[in-house]
Amino acid sequence: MESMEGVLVINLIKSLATSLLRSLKPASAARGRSLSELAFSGIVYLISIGIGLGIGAIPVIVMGKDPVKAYWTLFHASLGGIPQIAETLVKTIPLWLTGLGISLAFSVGFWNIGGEGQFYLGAIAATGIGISIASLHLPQPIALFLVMAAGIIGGASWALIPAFLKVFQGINEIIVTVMMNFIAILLSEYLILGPWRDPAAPEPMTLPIATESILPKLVPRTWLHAGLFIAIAATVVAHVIMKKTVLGYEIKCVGANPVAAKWSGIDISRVTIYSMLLAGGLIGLAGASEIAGIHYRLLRGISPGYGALAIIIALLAKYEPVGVAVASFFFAALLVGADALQRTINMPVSAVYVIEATILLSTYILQNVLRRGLRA
Amino acid sequence: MIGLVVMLLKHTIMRSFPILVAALGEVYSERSGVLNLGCEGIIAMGAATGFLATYFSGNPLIGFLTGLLTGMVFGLLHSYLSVTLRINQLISGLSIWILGIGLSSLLYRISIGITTALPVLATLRDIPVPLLSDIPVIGPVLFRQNALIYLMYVMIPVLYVVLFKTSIGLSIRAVGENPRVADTLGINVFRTRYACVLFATSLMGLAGAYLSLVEIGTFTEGIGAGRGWIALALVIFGRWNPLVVFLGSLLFAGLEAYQYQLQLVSPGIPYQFLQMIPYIATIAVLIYAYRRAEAPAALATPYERKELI
Repeated sequence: MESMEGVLVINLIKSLATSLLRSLKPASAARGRSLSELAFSGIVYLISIGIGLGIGAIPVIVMGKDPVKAYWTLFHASLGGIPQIAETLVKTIPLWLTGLGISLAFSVGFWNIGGEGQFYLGAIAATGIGISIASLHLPQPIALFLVMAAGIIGGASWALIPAFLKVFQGINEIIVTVMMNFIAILLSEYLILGPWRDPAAPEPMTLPIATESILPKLVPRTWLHAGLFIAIAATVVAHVIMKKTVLGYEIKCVGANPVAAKWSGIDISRVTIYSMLLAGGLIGLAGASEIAGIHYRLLRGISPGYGALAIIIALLAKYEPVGVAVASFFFAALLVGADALQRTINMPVSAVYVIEATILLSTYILQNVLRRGLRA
Repeated sequence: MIGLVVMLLKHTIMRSFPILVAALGEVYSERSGVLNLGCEGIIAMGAATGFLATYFSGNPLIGFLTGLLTGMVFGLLHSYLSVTLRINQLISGLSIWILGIGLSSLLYRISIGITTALPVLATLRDIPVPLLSDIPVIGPVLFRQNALIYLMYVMIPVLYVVLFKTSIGLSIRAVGENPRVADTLGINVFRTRYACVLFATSLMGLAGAYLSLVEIGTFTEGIGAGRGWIALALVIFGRWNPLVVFLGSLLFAGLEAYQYQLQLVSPGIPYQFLQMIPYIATIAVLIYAYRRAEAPAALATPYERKELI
């Protein structure tokens, strides 16, 4: 019964897609192809988002609540006004920077599952520097620079370990990066509960960072901070590196075909290490900007799994920096909306993970099924 | 002193179940050429559904079966994606990992509600084997365990024999080494891979149920604590051989048990550093294992049937 419906739905989607593609086909063949490709992926994304949100409605219905109302709450809480949009942008920043870093790593064929750990190391290093300069009263630009640089170095050095192990020992990076996530989180717990703990705070958290190293606010009475500019600048830099530099070209070569890259004289080790330094640095910067922009100190649970969410973002955006920005904003809106739903109808935030994984899987399934359908 | 050692060894065996059983399944999956990075997520799913089924039915057997079936459903998803659609296995596995982590906590929260008091189930009782359990040291270590441990004792040699001494095992290995040749010999590559993936993921689901029903007695977010990933490392360390995988699991479970013991006896060392031990050990083991690792040749490569005419 269900498979019958499934076939019907797939046929419907197929016929819709073909008619749309035909209507979009202009005279010039080359241009037409890229345009229809664009339309194709646009349709795939839209349907996938629909499926993801549809799956997300199931728990709401199970809990006996109205899914339309829930999505309205979600939309209103994340995009309903200036303060809401500011809040969504606040959540966009870490996803965005982490997504850029993961994209860069995946572009070179380095399966960096260690975003979470690199994020934590960035946050740890930024906090460490931020605490130690607290009594120096440095000028704000210098203090900010020091804290951000510490974040970059923290993330980059954490990324360098699996990169070295891969390049010099031939050890697959996937499990190593995952293990390093656990180590990084435990390290942060140690610092929060141990040497950096603020004795005056009721809950476990570290001492505050220097007030000079706090990122300025962009919109009054919201949490939106200058980390947004850092993310924009990082996107421009990532775009330029990937599109305009030799390193970017080499990264794409190594990612596409390491054997061919090697035989055409590219030093794979060097390219891998450079791109992992950049990737880890970007992700560490995400951690630092969370500390300097929102928390002003290190505390537990500063990441609701940014490392994992950024993997989905990078894959959905096909490693394109601008796509990462768009996907991050969308997922940030979901996160902010889900927070509101947790407050109002007790909907667990983990639903966001389910929605996002469903969207990603749907794009891959649809791309395959539709392409086959179109060919046939 | 002997009492302490005996307890440590007993706990080692008791704790080896989830990583060993998940890794044994993954050996079959990888031998047939399919890598499953979703292991950690499937373990979390098995832990959640196994716990919930037991909580609502009152029968742990139903819980274990539910965990097993949950794993199978995820296996169906993974094999459809990676065997039928030939999507990159890493991407399929990573998606399943994230899906499993999210869905397990969602299911649990919706079913139990957000309460302050964690529902806790009585963990399985140990069943001493008559006679054997009276042997000094060996008896209490090996033969005063819960029922699933005895199942594990049976599984290790059986899975070894099936993989290396039967035609089924030969087919599986052939499909993982050279699917094209296997296909020309009349082995159904797709069916073999589906079967191996389903077998693997159902064991991962069972491992998850064991975690929530036996080892911990409740479900918490992040219950796997990396065991799924450690199981994947264990497969490499064990060179895709069930017997060596078993030895490796003792090493990991031993470290885990030892680490817990250290937390109790030496409060001077911050517990976070002790908890890091299994993760650091995994990296160390990988550094050692990769030098001599020979993965199945067709691992993580999808197979496409070509028309020969």
